[in-house]
Amino acid sequence: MLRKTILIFVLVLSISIFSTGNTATAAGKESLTVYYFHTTYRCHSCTLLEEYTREAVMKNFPAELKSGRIKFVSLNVEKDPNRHYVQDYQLSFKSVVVSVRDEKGQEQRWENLSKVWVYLRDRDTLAKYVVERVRANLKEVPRA
Amino acid sequence: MPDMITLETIPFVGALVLGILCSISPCPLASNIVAMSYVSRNAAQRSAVLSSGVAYSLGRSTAYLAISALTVTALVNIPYLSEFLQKYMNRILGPLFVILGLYFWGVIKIPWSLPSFVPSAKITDTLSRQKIAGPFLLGVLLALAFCPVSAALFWGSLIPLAVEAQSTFGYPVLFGIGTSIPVLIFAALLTTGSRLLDLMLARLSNAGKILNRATAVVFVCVGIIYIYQYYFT
Repeated sequence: MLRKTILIFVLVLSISIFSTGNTATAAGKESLTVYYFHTTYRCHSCTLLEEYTREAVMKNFPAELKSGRIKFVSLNVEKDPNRHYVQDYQLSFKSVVVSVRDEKGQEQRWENLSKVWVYLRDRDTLAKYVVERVRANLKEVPRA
Repeated sequence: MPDMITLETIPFVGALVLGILCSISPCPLASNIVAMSYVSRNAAQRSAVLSSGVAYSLGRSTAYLAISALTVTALVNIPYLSEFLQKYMNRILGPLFVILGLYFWGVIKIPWSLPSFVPSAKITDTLSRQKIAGPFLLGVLLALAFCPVSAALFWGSLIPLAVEAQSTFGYPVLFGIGTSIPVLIFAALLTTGSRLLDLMLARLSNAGKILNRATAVVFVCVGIIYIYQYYFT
C-alpha cells in the first residue's frame, strides 16, 4: 500500500514538474506587440493617444517589457517599409493594434483596439482598456 | 465620457453620442467655426438661419450615409477610401475656403446656378430663398473631410455598432446630426434670437453686407489655417 502511494506521489510530481516546465517554455517564447500606427500629419488627439497608450503599457508591464515578451512600437504608415500594415490590419484610422506572435514569429491573432478613441477623454479608462486587452490577448495564446 | 456599454445597448443613442463626441473634439473645431459663420450670414433673415442649420445637418448625415453604404457593401477598399478622404479632402478645403471667402467679400464673382437635376423652378426658388442648397453642400463637404478623430469614431465605433444593430441607415444619419449639434444650437440661438441682436441688426442699414464680410474673413482665415496645416506641416 505504502509503495503504491509513493509511486502515485512520484508520478503526480513528475507530471506536475513536466507540465510546469512546458508552460514556462511556451510563455517565454510567445510575444505581444502593441503597435501605434500614425501618419506623417500628427494631430493633437493623435499624439495624446500615443502618449496615453505608451504610458499604460510602460506602467503596467515593466517586467514583460524588460524581458521582451511585450513591445510597444510606434510606426508611420506613410513610410514605405510600413505601408503594408494598412492592408494587413485594414487600418482606416490612426490605430492601436495588439499583435500576438508565437515562438516562430508567426502572427497568431491581432486586435484593433478601436475603442481607445472613445476613451481618449478619460486617461484612466483608456489605460484600463489597453491593459485589459493586452492581458486578454496574452492569455488567449495557445500553450504548447 | 461615454460608456461603451451604454453606447452598445441603448439603440440609436450611441450613434448620436458618438457624433457629439466627434463635434466637440479639437480637430473639427475649424470646420464648426466655418459652418457657424456661414449659417449666421443669414442672421437678418431669421427663418433662413434655422433652415440653413438644418440643411447643414442633413448634408452631413447624407455624406455619412453614403460612406456607410460604401463601407457596409464593401464596394470600396475602406483603408484607401479613408486615407483619400482624410488626406485630400482637407487639402481641397483650404483653397476652397479662401475662394469662397473672397466671393463673400465680393472680390471675385462666381456664376452660381443650381444643377439641372433640380426638378422645377419652384423648388429651385425655394432652395434659393431658404438658403438650403449652400449649407447642405457645405455639410456634405465638411463631413467628407474626415479628420483623425472623426475617421476613428466613424469607422472604429459607429460602423461596428450600426452593423451589429442592423441599422446602416439610422445610425449614420444620427451620427451626422450629432456632429452638427454645435451648429444646430448656434442656429437655434440665432433664430430665437436675443433682443440685443435684433436691435443691432435694425440699426445697421447694411447688416447683410457686414454679415457677409464677417463670414468672408472667417472663411479666408480658416482657409489659410487649413492650407498651412495640410500643405506645410
